[in-house]
Amino acid sequence: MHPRASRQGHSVETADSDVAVRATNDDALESKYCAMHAGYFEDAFLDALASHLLRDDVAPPSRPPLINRGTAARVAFKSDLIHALLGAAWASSETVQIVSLGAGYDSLPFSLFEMGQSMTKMSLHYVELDFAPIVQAKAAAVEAQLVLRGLFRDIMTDGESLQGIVKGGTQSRYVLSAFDLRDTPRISDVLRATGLKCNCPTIILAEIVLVYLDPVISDAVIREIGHFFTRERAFVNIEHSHPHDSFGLQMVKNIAARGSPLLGISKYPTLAAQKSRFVREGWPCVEALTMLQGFQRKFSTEEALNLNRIEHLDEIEEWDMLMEHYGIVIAIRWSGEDDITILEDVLKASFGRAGETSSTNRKAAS
Amino acid sequence: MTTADLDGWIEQLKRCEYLNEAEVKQLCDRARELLVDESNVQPVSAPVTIAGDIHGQFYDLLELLNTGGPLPDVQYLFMGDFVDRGFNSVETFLLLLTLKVRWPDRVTLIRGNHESRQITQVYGFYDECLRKYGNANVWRYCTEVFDFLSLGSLIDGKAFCVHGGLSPSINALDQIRAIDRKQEVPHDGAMCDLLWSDPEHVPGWNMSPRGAGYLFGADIVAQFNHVNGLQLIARAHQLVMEGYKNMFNDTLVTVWSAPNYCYRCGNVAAILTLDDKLGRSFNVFNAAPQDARSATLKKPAPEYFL
Repeated sequence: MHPRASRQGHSVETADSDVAVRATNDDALESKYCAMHAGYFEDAFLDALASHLLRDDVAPPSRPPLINRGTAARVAFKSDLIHALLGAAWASSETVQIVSLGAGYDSLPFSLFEMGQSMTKMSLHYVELDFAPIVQAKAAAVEAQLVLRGLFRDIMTDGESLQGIVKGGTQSRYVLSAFDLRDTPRISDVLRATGLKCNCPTIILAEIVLVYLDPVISDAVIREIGHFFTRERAFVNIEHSHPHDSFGLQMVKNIAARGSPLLGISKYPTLAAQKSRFVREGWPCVEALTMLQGFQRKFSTEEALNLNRIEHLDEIEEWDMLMEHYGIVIAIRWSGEDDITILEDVLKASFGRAGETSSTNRKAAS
Repeated sequence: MTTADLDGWIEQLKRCEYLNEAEVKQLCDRARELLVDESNVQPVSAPVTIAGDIHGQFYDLLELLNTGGPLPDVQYLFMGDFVDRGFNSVETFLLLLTLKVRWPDRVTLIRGNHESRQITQVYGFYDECLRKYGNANVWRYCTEVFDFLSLGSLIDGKAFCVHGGLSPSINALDQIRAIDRKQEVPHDGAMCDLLWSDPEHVPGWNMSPRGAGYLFGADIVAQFNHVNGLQLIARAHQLVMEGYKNMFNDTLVTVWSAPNYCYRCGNVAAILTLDDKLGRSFNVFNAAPQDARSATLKKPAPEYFL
């Protein structure tokens, strides 16, 4: 038996799939790196975070236009949702917390801190949780890379976690901490240990993370984290969807062949199933849309065509199918009575008006 | 290059073993000599079996040939997009080209939008040539053949085959015959449209989401078929999950011949046979197990958002 595996009480098989799930972080990072270098968006921190993927003797990675454009959409959806939710939360509290589950090499905290340096009142406490090896690697990058380290006044690290005090006049803090989400009973202790306060507005982000967990565990995570925080809170969950059509069946098979099966997808195969899941786990105000719907709301036909100037996309039919197989779930638990209005405002700020969708934007699919 | 040479190459290529650079040059030179004499709208006599996009899915091409039946007994027409996306564009295109040279009157190849210098540099054929030969010569020889491929085909004067579709600059087939086709696929104009356009359930001409070519409606097809005395337009270019799709009261059909496209889409593929009275029958086929296997053996492509 694998020594590390036996110490953690998992089987060898579990340890192998852990490695494969962790590898999805590198894949996502590489995709983001490629989309950025293809010209879809700017990100001052990705090069520093991706430095471990680049080798002098190997050509820099590249992705097909379909993946680049979809990755750019994924990045924009997440970032716009978080910005909109932060705006709503800062309206009721000077300090807002973000907890990112399975955060991987996400660069979002750094862009937020960079932006926040010009703010004088509002502060952000951003906590990222992930497998220990990823936390260690990311902590090392934060310490070693000037563009990341330079954001912080002070950095403390103990190998297992990192804490940074953000430069500027506010009390913004960054915490990177090792936590295996399957250790769900410990989740409250871990959240507390990172300095998160249960009576502070909090946004929870899970970007293609929960679907790799047994749904019994991911359900508990959604439930427990919702109970831990008692003030305004929101949950953004992005994951694969629609496993039962031809494309979905092949997707489930292909991703399982990478060793990182989508353990949660058959229990939550549709947006409706996702919504009832969040309702059941204590998040009654919830909306969900596919990445395709999100894209069609956000980009007019013309804007989508303009993206061809960055890279020509020939994979039109596949684009629709691939984007339909990801769902974005947004749940809000604010004061109660205004929750629906707040959710609608957040959606509008992130994606544009509802109802502007389909008829005009939608490529009348054949 | 003798018939025996060609038969040997066919055997070798069917094992998915590509030809060496000198052989490819020989093959491409010969293919160009043949293709230069073909019309922009190459006439073909039924019966014929028509295939859509292949996209380098080599083992699926073998599956297609098994499904359709052996050459030269069966006559084939391939409507373009032989290369890009799949793992074996080199072997796929070389096999099709060798078959063409071996049985010029039993194999018709027309040009797809991926038979282009620009597109193959984005979607894989160029990289595959570099990887397999260490230089771009084979890619160059092949793209020089691309420039000579017909833009369409006319079966018994009644069925027009084209990779993409129609063009607002074209009313009559004679206007296609007048195009100087021996060039890289242009970014706009009639030649571009023929390779890029798609039919759509919206009347008239509309902007295409592809950023090249147009969307054309049932009225456009009715008019074009009437003016040119056609019963059918057969085209490829769009993935259809069921392998084929009839539209506009069966006056247009899309044929798609790349099963489980890109090893990701989970679709079936089809070929269309027109009998000697132009009666239509479709043969649907699945992905070859070999292609599925090579898809998992190689480092998996970054096919999803993870």
